[in-house]
Amino acid sequence: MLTAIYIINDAILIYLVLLSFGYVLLLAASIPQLRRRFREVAFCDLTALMKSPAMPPVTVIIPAYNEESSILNAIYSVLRSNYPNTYVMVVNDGSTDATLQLLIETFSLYNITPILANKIKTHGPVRGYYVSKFPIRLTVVNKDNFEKSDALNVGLNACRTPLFITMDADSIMEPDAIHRIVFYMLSRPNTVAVGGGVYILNGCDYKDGQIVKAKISDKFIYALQSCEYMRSFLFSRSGWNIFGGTLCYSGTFTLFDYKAVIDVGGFDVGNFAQDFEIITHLHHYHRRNNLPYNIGYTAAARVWTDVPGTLREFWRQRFHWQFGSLLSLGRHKGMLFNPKYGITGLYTYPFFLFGETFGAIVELTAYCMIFVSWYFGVLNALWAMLFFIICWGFVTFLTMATVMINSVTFRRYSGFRDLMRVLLLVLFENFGYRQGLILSRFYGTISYYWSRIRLYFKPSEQKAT
Amino acid sequence: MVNLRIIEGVMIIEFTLVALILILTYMLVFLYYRRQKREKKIRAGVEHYLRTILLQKKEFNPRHIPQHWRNIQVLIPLIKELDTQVAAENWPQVKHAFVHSIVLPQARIATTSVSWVQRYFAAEGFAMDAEKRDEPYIIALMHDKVPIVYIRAINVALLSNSAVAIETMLDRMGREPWLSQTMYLQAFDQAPIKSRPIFENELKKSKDLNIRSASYKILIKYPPAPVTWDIQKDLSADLPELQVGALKYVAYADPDKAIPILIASLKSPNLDMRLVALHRLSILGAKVAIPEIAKCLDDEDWWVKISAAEALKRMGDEGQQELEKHTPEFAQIPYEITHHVSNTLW
Repeated sequence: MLTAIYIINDAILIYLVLLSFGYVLLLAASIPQLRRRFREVAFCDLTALMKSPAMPPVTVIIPAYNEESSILNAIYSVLRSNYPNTYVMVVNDGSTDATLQLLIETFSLYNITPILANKIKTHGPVRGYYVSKFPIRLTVVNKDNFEKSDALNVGLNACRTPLFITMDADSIMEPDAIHRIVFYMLSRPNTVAVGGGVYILNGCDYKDGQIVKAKISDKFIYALQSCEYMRSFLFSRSGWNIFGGTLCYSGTFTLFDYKAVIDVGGFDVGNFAQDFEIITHLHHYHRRNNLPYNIGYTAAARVWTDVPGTLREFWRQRFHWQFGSLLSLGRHKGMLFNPKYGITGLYTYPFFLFGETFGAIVELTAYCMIFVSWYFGVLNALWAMLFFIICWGFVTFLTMATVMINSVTFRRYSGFRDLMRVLLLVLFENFGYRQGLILSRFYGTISYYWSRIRLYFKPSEQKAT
Repeated sequence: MVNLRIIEGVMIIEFTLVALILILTYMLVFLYYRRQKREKKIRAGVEHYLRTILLQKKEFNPRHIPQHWRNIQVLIPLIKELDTQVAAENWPQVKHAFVHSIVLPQARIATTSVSWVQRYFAAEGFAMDAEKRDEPYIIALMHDKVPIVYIRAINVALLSNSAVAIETMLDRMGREPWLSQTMYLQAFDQAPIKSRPIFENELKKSKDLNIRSASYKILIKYPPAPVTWDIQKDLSADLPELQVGALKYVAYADPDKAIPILIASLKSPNLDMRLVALHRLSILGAKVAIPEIAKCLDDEDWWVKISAAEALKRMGDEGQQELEKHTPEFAQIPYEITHHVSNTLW
């Protein structure tokens, strides 16, 4: 019994050391991206270039379900974009509130004959297709409720541009976001998807789809999520560019090559984390077929989004993310340690599986082992100290470094007060927030594997349905 | 049991690495600002010199621009800015001399740079006033992998009206994925009319189906002109995209000649051909085609049925009467329709 405790404790420490080394690698890998960012900023002809009519048209697809309080801001922010060839498509996913009515009244929409392609099979029937009497490039597709992925697929069927962006209905896009994300795509050959930076809208001052003042919210839960998003979007995703791109970009703001998404069959209906699934699928498809491709991320293109404001919503969101991630990873398990899939199979996929996804379980196990070790009188103080230093201290230090990098490079939160607040919050992240995150992810993992077990023992005719 | 001292050592290294990365970032920021300062200085120096010679009505002497100032990333935006600001009558001569003695030589060197930013500015440099001998450089840039670079090079090729460059572009365009094709086509929005004979010549002599297909797509952006080559071969070519391109073009360029061709295309096994024919016949208001369009209401494809119904609706009373002979099912629009033809919605 004691041997088992020692082995488990040692395994946990080794795992955490390796994981933290992986994060250091990512941070180091994000530096060339920063350097590139400086070069792009110095590319002073960007605005003139992106105003050229030779730039490809882009459709921003906004799936909306009961978003009457935020949909107008989202649309206004896209219409404010200074990219010349932008089209907006809102897919009303069977909202039970006044979302559709609000859109019809605000933009003087009228119903026309829908001309939708059937490139991807969709589920919720389309009930109406609206365009505006005003000279704006807005289309609204009204369909029965099914799922966000299905709404995106309907948007894809109606999309006529070679590029499209997925954006959440509770988000606000910066005016140069489309410029910068399209610029990233066009400055790298064979790019099929580009993720953009996501910041927290809660707490900011905004009006008519424009951010008036960016600041960290006074509410604890929002402020903590700001830290987490900064860490994730600034260094983690940037760093993955060198390793061929991460397996997940936020569905809040990602640019896709239309044909590439059609080739993989569109967004996966039935997966909560459809953003994770589509990116993983793109990796899998292109590597399997030996097609040249690039999936990247640019922190320079930014969108601001609402995040969960209550513990219940937060728990649900993170549970869904974890469940969806495992679903996607399971679907594409052929990539795991498979040299045919290059660095994605040998490093990215394993990191996401064993690091990002199982990290919560390992940390929860560690907390349990501290208790178990104490109970059996074998708790090593040095071991416990090292655990907290690696698990809490290192991540805190990493986040602080990220915040400080953000303050001099992207400067989105430029107030000194905001900066100090974030640095302080980072310390408090480890007392409660982190544990809540771990528990929700742990629950998501257990739910996923339990659903797999139940599926395995289901009679075959039920499985077929 | 793992030696905890080793773990300690590893963590100290990791913490140190993060601190070093932070220091490196600040160094990068410092270097960036230093570089900006240097570029501002170059820009200020060149601008001062140019404004002085404009004021004093002197000739431009390239010796006054030292080698380390010859950075096209700084000089090209400066020239563009001065273009909009300067009203001196000798500015065109000064600009011409500056571009040919400073910008173009640097652009030629930058064509083979590893940095795509440099290659892009090389294309910008050629856009200012390329010489005949710059054609190979422009063609090289048109083969660049980075889309921004080759699109800019295509613009330059179109403006220069170089037959070789445009043929190279056509050859590439036919094989490109959708995104690049769209960008090529949009680049042609700015193409001068004098490029037109090049595409017509391609249709007269080229045997490559992709090039012919691309030529039709481009010619449709010019004002209509009579068809002077054998279009029938293209209408029954092996490449479906070529068939559609030819049909669209004949309907655009020569509507009277097109009607019998469009009616014949209603029976084509190619779905896109049937759809294009229905669409164009409805736009032309060709009432002579009503009986044939009505037969399309029984097509196996829903998209064709709906397009036929729409076409009949637009044909006035005769079309409406034909439509009403059929069952009310055409009043219900199906929600999933096969679509292969690009059709403007906006």
